[in-house]
Amino acid sequence: MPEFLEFGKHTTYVVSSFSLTLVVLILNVVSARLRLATRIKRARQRLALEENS
Amino acid sequence: MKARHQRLMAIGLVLVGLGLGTTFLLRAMNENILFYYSPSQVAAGEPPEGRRFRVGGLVVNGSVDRVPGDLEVHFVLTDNAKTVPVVYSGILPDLFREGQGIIAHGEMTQDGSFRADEVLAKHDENYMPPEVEDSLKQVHGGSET
Amino acid sequence: MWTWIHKLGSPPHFYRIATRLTPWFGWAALLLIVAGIYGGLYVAPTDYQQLDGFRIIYVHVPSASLSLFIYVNMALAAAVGLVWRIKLAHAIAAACAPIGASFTFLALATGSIWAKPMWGTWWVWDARLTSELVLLFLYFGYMALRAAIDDENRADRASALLAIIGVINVPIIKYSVDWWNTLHQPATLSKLGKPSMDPDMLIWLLMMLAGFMCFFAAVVLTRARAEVLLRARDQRWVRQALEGR
Repeated sequence: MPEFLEFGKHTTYVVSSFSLTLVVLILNVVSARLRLATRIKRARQRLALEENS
Repeated sequence: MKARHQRLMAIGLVLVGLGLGTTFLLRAMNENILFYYSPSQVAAGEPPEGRRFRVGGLVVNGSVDRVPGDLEVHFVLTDNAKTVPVVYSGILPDLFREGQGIIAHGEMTQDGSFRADEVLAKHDENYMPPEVEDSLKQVHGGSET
Repeated sequence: MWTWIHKLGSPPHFYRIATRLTPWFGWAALLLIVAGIYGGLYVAPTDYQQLDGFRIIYVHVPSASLSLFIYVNMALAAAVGLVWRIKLAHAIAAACAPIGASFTFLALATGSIWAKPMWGTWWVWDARLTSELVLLFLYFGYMALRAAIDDENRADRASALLAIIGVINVPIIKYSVDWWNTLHQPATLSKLGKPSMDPDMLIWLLMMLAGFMCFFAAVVLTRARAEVLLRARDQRWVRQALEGR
């Protein structure tokens, strides 16, 4: 464990709870952006279909 | 317009009804949601006999007695009115110390002491650096003498 | 005022505003959270009892606050959608649920990690922990109900009803520590009165809280845009919104 991640006898607990938080935050961002990207793609496809017909 | 008001009314009524219902339910259940009994309640014989229950109180200063070479610990819990002697063998939480709030889970033995197989520390909502705590103690000690 | 609300309630307008606001909230969240984590881990003094272990408060309390805040938002949006039949409100409520569930999970998980060394157990069935777990299941129930009903309008209405009924759990969670003997300690931060925390520690907690709020705003706006696109029946504004950029 690098020195900046040493928190006395509670190192494991502190590091694991902060890392878990970061993971959840990142997953939130990624999933929200993916969802929006998918919706935009679908909407574009729908628009293109309409133009052709 | 009218339909909207009706829907508002309906939601309001459902909310009020549910709120009242839950309040009464919780009041009735109140006894069972209590997580632990105090030493006074234990002395008054409130916990069900022959069943396991929890006792919560402060560890009396100077009462902690560790058996050398063993995990067994003896200590006394108090609520500043009555006391309960506790026997426990196992790993104690980090916050276990004299004067700390503790909740022990187990059962009463024949000799009137409480045999615990789980000891949990209850801490308060105060957070401060050690220096602040020291100065608080000094102020406190000064006013008492 | 009413025209303003009406404008905001229209999907094209909301989509445009949400697109513009999201980066602001996103960057604010990033700055506040990075500063808050740094301050909480390295600048704040150690606690007199819990030493470095108390630092878990900087992720636990903001997650727990957000889990309740998001639920109230979701229920309010659902109620507005139900009463005034505004599709946009239902879209916002639907966008709240997965974010709220993730923060409820985070509050439970970090609380459990904190409880192990301090209390001596991962979990107890006291009123606070149990009611927070019920909140997680409320979020799950809401999402399951939405997924189970194919018809968009019926899914909106049924899930909105569930969200509104579940609001009762919010005050139960908040006041459980005052109403019953719980293992969980009472609140450190409360609206009235002085917080039971040293100012040098408190400032980083407030920073994390503000950061998490901005984070929620950024994510919910993004998700709400996706929901609005899904519900868009009038294709003209979608064309403008997507190709105007």
